[in-house]
Amino acid sequence: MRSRLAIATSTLVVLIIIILAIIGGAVWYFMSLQGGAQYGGVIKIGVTVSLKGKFQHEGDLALKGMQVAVKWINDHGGVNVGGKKYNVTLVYYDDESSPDRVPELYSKLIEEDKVDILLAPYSSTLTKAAAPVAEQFKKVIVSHGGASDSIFQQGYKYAVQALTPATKYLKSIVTLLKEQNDPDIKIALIYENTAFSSTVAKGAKAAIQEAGLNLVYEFAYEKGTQDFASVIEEAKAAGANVLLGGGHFQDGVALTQQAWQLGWKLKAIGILVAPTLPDFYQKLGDAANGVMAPAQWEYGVKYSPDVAKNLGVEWYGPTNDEYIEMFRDMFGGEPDYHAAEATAAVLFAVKAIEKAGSLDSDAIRAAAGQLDILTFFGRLKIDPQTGLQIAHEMVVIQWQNGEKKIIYPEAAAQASPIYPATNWWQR
Amino acid sequence: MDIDEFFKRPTPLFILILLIVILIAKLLRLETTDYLITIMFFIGIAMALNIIMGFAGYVSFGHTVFLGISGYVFALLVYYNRDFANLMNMYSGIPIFFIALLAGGVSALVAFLVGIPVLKLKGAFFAIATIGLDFAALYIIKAFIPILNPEFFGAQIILPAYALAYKDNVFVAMYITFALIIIANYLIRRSRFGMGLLAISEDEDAAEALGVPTTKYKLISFALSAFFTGMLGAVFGLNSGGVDENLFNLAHTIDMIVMIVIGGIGTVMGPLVGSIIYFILYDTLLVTYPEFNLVILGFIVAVIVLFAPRGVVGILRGKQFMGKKLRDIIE
Repeated sequence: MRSRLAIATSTLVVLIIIILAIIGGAVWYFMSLQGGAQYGGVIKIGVTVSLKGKFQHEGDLALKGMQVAVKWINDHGGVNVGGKKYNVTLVYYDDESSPDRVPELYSKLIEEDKVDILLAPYSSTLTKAAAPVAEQFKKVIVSHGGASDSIFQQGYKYAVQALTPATKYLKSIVTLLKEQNDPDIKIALIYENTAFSSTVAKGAKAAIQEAGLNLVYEFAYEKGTQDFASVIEEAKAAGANVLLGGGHFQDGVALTQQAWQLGWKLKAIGILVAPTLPDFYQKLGDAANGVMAPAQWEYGVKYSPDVAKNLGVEWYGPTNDEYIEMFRDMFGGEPDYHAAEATAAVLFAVKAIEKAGSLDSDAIRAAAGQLDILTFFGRLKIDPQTGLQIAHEMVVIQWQNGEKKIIYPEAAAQASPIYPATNWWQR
Repeated sequence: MDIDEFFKRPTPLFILILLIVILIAKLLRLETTDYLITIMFFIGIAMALNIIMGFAGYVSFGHTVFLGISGYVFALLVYYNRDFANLMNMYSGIPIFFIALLAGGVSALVAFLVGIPVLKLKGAFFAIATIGLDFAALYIIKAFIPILNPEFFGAQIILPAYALAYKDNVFVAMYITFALIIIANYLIRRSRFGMGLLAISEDEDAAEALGVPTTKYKLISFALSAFFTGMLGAVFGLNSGGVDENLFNLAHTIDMIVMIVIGGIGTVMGPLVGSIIYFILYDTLLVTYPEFNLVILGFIVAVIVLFAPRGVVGILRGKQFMGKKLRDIIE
């Protein structure tokens, strides 16, 4: 009796598996058929996005950003490739925020879905798994979420970058400081000892040296640090009057708060990540005023076709207002920089195809190296050799009287910088 | 063993067919190279863990640590030694296999040394100790790698493009590694050593009393299991363009355990069938229903575990087929 029941259940289980496999296979086949049945004039952009796992938030926004770009391009007559009009479509899979299946999924995109160009997954961890596949099949892959530079130093020929690399994160603030022509600038660099922040700090040091500014103190604190009193006293003793650094939200807030409480007279404060969030002002009040932060993109940047004309470069894509409106219409939320950089990557990829005038990867890669455009996200131009982004500048925001204002670069600015930060310096 | 007897047994036949099918799929390009590398990796890690978990009954929950250790050893060897990297592009990738052997050896050594105290623990305590090992190794590497070379992005090592110039070479290395692991599994299961391990999993004290050198056997099986897991971590790390913290992710161990359990614990055929079913199911669902894949998969796994606690193959072993007890022929 028992064994009969066991046979019945095991048969049932096997049946369920077979049925599910058949359904899955059928749906899969049907979907691939739909993809294949489209007319010749479609450019397929392939990507894996992180719909689950630790990059879920970023992945979701990135996907929305890509979809906005695709819709904008198709609404505006598609792409002109060698005299023919093409529409653009996005083919994507979920990589679950893990590099494990990334090579497999990218192979599938290239070999089975026959995509024309690739976008990289979010983060450098996943990008490093995708780049060898792109290289193997000679497909251009545009990175939108990997701020690490290291992937571009490994000799991957077809990888190009559409956002500012981590080493350039604080460069804009350093440039801004230099433009103040203040002979008495003494910088303290206090940053979180994590992969991202250390890379940023390394780039900042190079930028400070290049600008001829004075770095008097440097300290890397461990992740999770909340007490900065002794570090701040050391930096004060070294005579520092400018603070650069930070890492994530909590430590960025704590560092700023304690610098304020300990009466550190600072002419300028540049903190990573934390000040870009509205909570920063709510937690710190007046101490937040004067604090600056770099951002890949900010709501309200003033890049526009007119600016492009002044700069003498071509404008491409939606304007900022258009972009935000489209995003709201399609998804009902607000875009952040994760979405914006993904949108920009699609625009850059499509523009490179248009400039190449063909779907041949080598032609696209060569054209990408020549491209110089302005988008709502900023200016995009890569180093023709390495594929590193060289034109996109971080925008700098500053809290001014409780409002977050974009102060740099001039082309995107809403307000002029307040330097020295009066409430910190003259108290 | 004479050849007739060999073919009367379904397990070696199944292994042979599986190896041939993968080779044909590669040669006729029925599946992408990366798909085949990935499926071999997942079947391989289940089979590697099977040696300690399936046979000896010790659930090594932190087993993913050996993916990490060997992955890092391999990546560092290749990163710092250009000769290795150049070699990897020659001789159809067979050198990759030998470097992976070396990297796997480091894992085996770690497993052996750690196994001496840890294998004295049983059940949940052993499982927790191995999780501890995983986290310890992860934190050591997170602290050590950035000091070793500030050029690395945190604990992440990205290999140069030339190290991974030909995916076909990676396929060859993975194929040899994979074949080695499943054949070793079968040979161990058939050996006196394997019988000893099964005895340990039934009742360790009784096995000891009957003359099975339990401590020695457990240590060897733990080290062997770590060795094979490590080799896979090395080759798979290479295929991912480099290594990072993800290799230490406990999700890998969960995959391994689920694959073994749904197939049937204590056999060779079980984890083999289980991992093939699990991988193909997982992959198909991920591609077709990215929103619900984990829900559907979880449901299926729950059904299998509820109604077939001994796994898909485990159930078959209780049956008779054409007058033969399947228990006697399915290993």
